[in-house]
Amino acid sequence: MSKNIPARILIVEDSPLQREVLRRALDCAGYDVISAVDGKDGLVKAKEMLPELIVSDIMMPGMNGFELCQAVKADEGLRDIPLIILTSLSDMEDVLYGVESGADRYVTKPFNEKYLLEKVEQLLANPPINEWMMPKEVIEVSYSDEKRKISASPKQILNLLLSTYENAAIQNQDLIDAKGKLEAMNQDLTKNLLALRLSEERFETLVQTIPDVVYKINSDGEFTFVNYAVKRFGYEPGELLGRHFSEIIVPPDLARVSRNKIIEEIAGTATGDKDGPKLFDERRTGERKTTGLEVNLIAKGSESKEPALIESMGENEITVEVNSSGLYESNPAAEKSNFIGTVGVIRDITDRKLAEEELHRLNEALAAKEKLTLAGQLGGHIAHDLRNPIGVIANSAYYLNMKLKGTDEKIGKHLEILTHEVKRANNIISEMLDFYKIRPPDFKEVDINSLIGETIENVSTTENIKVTTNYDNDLSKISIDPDQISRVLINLLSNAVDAMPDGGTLEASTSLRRGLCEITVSDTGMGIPKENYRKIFEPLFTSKMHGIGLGLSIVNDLVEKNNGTIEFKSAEGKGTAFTLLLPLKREEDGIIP
Amino acid sequence: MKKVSILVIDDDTGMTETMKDILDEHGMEVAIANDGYYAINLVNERSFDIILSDIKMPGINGVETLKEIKKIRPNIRVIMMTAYTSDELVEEAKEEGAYKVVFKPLPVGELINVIGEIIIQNDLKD
Repeated sequence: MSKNIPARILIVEDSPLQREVLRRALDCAGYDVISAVDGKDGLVKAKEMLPELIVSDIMMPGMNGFELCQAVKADEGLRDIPLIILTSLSDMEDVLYGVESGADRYVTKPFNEKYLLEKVEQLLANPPINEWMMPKEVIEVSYSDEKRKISASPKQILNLLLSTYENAAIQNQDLIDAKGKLEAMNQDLTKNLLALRLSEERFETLVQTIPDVVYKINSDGEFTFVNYAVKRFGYEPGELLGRHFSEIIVPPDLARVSRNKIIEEIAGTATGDKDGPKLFDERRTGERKTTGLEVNLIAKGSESKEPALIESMGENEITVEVNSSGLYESNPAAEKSNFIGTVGVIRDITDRKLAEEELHRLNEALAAKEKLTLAGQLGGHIAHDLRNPIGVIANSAYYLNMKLKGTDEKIGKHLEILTHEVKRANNIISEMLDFYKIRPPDFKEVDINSLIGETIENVSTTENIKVTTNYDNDLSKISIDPDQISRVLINLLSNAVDAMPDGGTLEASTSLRRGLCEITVSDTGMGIPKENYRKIFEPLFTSKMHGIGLGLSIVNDLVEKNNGTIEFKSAEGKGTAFTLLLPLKREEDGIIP
Repeated sequence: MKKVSILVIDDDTGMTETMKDILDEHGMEVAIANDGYYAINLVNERSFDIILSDIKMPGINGVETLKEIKKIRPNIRVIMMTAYTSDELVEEAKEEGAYKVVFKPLPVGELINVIGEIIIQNDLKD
């Protein structure tokens, strides 16, 4: 092939696309390419343009590739032009026709560009000379139970076979290459699969490890996944699978968190509301999904819970917070996205609730303390201001008593009432003043049993009350302010008497409990109603017709100042028992029991 | 027999009036003053066996009144009354020579007993 004058090649191909692909391949290789659309056109163009090589397709309308080949080889002016037949060689017929047509080379389709150019170059460099003159033999071949005779020269046949073999070799190489690529891809796939599995395992481990419950429910609301954290609610993950989520939600809450119930309710109302319903079986995603839904779940078997906790939270109920989001097969933004369920996270906020309750309780206690201080100040002021008028009234009563006693029965009775009431008013004033100025305790070593005995003697009881004592004689002296503890006991004993207007038994006892001195004052009276349990130590709370409700708050304060604690048990209609726990020694003494 | 003379000082007229009648009834000669200045004037004019004075009063208080009275008549026996047990005025009153400090609320009967003791101990009945 001369570099200066490019060789002219005729392409005969009916498919415009194939034609163009061929044209470009040859054009790029530097040939002068002309093309024809079928055999007839090819023959005309060959005669007109006298190409140095013809590349022809086989299947073409009108004159096909074989016919063109035969026509070229039969034409004296054209027969020396080398001809390449593009064949799929998939059909035995193609091969036989190819042999008979006298084509010079065969290139299989889809052609390998490099291979085709190689053949083109070879043929142009060494054109087969006068091959058409070679003697042809008639060979009988049989295939598909059919015998056929073809005429071809041995060289033609050899060429065909070589082309076929070459083709096969190339295809085999392609196959080997493809196999290598496939293997590499397969390895990558295996690696990715393994990585994916590892990743999934890690993810599952992560999900299983987090303390919050992670759940997945299907579009019917049945659990399809729950992590181990659900054990804290008493369930095994396995037992929940397939069960409807409503089974673990306390019935009163269900209507509030269940999609069906809510949708019915808000049907017709505007959507897109940020404060929309919060749902356990959420379908929405993104910003509008459910966050911070508070709901009570039914826990199973709560023996691990402390009794106090159950009491405060309601038996078998756990307060949780749920965040949930709809789950879709494809992007929910896409037009056809299938809702397949809900994923959510359940957080046990029982502790938080308890902490909140505790905070509330502490706040109340603080408020009570403030109330106490205020009451103290107010009481102090009032007591001060009342003291003089009461003193004057007392004086008047005293004077009248001196002058009029014994003059008239009625007057005598009223003088007595006046004296008695003035005394009572004075007591109240004293109580308020005491409360106002509780001094720091003056600790002394005191025989507690004796102190209780003396105090009981100073408390007026009625005839229908039986007083019993039960002392632990092993209790020796304890370190307390005797005046203050005596006042505590007077208060408790008086309350006990007041609680038994129809009589009963008043018992005072002492014992040693866990290194502390335990003093119990119990009665068989009316008891304290449950709703008052928290209030009884609050100042200004009273259930009595008389009294100003400072007694037990003073008691509480004094006990606290003496490093002790006070508690009580009560049953309505059965009685009440107050228990004081006092340390045997002061902490400053260095001996803490 | 000479009556025991007593001066009751209190800014509360109800208190002085009732005390006067009660002490009268117990056979004493009673004068009353509703503030410290008036009391000092009275003491300047004449002597008393016993003075019963409130500590907390507007104007000059009981302790200052006590000081002035003691200047005029050092031997006079003064009983001070107060509602404040932890009052520094109580200590001051004792230092200034108060015969006794009693704490309110004190039933008047007990106060009479205190006065009676003073009379007996000091043999004031003549």
